[in-house]
Amino acid sequence: MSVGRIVTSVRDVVQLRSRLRHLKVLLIPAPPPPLPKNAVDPTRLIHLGRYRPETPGHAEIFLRDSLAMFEPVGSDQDHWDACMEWMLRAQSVTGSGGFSVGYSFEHGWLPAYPETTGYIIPTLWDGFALKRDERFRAAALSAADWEIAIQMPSGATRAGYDGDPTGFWNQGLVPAAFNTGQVMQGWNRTFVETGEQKYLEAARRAADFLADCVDDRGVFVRGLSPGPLSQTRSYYARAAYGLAWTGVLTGVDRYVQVARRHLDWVLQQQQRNGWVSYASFVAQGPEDDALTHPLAYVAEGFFEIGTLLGEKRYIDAARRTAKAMMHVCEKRGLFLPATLSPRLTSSDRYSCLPGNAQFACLWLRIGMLDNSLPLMNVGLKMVDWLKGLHSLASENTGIRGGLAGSWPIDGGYSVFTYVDWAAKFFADSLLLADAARKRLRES
Amino acid sequence: MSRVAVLGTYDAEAPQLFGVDLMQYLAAHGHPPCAIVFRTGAAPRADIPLNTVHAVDEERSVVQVTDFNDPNAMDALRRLEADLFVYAGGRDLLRKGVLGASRLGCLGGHYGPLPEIRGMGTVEWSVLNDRPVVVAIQRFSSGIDTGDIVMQAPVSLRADDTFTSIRERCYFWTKVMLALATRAMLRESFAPTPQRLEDGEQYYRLHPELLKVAERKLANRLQAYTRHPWRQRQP
Repeated sequence: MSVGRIVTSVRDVVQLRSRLRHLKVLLIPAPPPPLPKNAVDPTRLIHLGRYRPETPGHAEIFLRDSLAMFEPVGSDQDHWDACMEWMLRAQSVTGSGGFSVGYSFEHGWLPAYPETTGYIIPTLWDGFALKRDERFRAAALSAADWEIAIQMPSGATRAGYDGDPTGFWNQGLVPAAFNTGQVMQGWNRTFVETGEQKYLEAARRAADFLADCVDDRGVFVRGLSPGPLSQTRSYYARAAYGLAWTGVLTGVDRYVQVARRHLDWVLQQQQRNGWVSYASFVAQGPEDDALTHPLAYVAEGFFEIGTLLGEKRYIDAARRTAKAMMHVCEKRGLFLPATLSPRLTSSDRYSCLPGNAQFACLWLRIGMLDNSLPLMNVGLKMVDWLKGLHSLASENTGIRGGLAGSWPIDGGYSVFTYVDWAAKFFADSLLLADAARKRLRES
Repeated sequence: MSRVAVLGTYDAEAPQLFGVDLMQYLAAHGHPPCAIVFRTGAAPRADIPLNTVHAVDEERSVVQVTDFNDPNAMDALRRLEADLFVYAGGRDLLRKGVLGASRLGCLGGHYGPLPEIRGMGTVEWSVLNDRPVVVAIQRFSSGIDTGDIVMQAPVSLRADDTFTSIRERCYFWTKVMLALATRAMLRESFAPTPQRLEDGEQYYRLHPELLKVAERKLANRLQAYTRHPWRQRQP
């Protein structure tokens, strides 16, 4: 082939490519121009009308999150104080001793929630130990007494709550194993703090119910809450902790053995990369995505029972999941996606904030246990990040001091709602962060 | 369907005006504008007649004016039979004839907490007075920033902010809030809060010396934001 022909064919190829590009421009409509800096995607306003954007505080949080902006950050103590005040408000609005599910942009303050009231009680006792503020002690006692008052004859705590304006919890009085395990932790702690037998008796009745919910394989097959769609649930590891703790306090070995049996089954659900099957409210199969909030429940169950019983393999399992999530979060520039596939991938563009706060607790606790600087590092960064979403100044008392279910607020978990469990885990994380900062200063 | 008309300064072909971000926010929030009344800020566009309701399609029209307060422009505004006007922003002082040409009046934005801080340089004055930087949406009255308050929201700040960047954020914040306020206003149950004149003060452009003080106070305020060593992606 002559040089001239080579030049000609190269020229033809270039011209053909140029013409194809031109044709593509003509046939395929140009994408819309990118939104200018500071602009909000208009599609995000489509459903906003439901959430009363004209109510003070609502538009502010929506706009803040839409543009990835943050609140001013104060000390751990400032944020902890505001968080505890929010929780006291969440209790006082119900007038029952139970803690409101949270503040919904759509419905306002929601009814009292037995499940989360149970595990908020230890946070109140921690607050009382720290500040000697009688309000925290009184709040813990009234919550524990309310839980006894509504305990079902079987010993169980009910699923969901009455008067749910969303209609999600409309099944009436149904016993729930997970909720029972959380409330037992509140009673156990109250017994430890006060020595009053009635709390341990309530926990023992609950334990009798809970121990009968687990089959020979170690799977919870009874007392499954009707809300979540999944029928197999590894996150009940956190309920097993309530059972094991009651076993230790009462000396009933059966409770401990059943908790152990369940946890051994959960261990089989954990992959080598730290991900756990059925750590989800919707999973239908073992490969379905996990949600960070129940995934953290699993790790908490491992860690608490491992610590309680001195079982290294459980603590190792908690560490495995915690470390996996550290890498997930750090590799994304401190962004923890709400759901994760078995390969620890995710296309989510939102975080489940209770899950973030729970993992902050796990990172800090395990970090301090192991003296692991990378875990303490990610834990402190996450706590500071959450502080940036924690308003200390909003004029709306449902928002000030509380923490939302999702970031951004219109994300996919507890949408447009400040939930009490986010506040609980955030308060816990702030105390741990304070301890970790002291540890680092002294090292 | 309620009729919402937007008043603003634009220079584009009529159909393109309905693609501007404010119109998209209004549409997404359930109230697409039926008309856009605009002036170019320079020479009028030759393709659209002045002070005339010019149909873009069966449902939408535009009106080109040189001054919103011109009697001929006011006539055209009345012919729109709008329920509500939304003023997109600028330095126009809209007179009673304009404000009264729609059933519910005209909404507009203001960068300062109302009723306390009215007038000019309000972002700087907010900082000088230790008040939050706020976007307020008011239903205009004939006084300056004395209209009924429809909604207000503090504007988030960032460690590297300047008064210029804050104003730019306020500008976009206002557009979204105008859409939210429009929806609220068109619900018959919603009542904006009237202002009392004596509850606020009117402020004016700052002397450079005061601007320096404001910049120092802003720097102090932003120190609380400096503990984020990372920048988050926009979700």
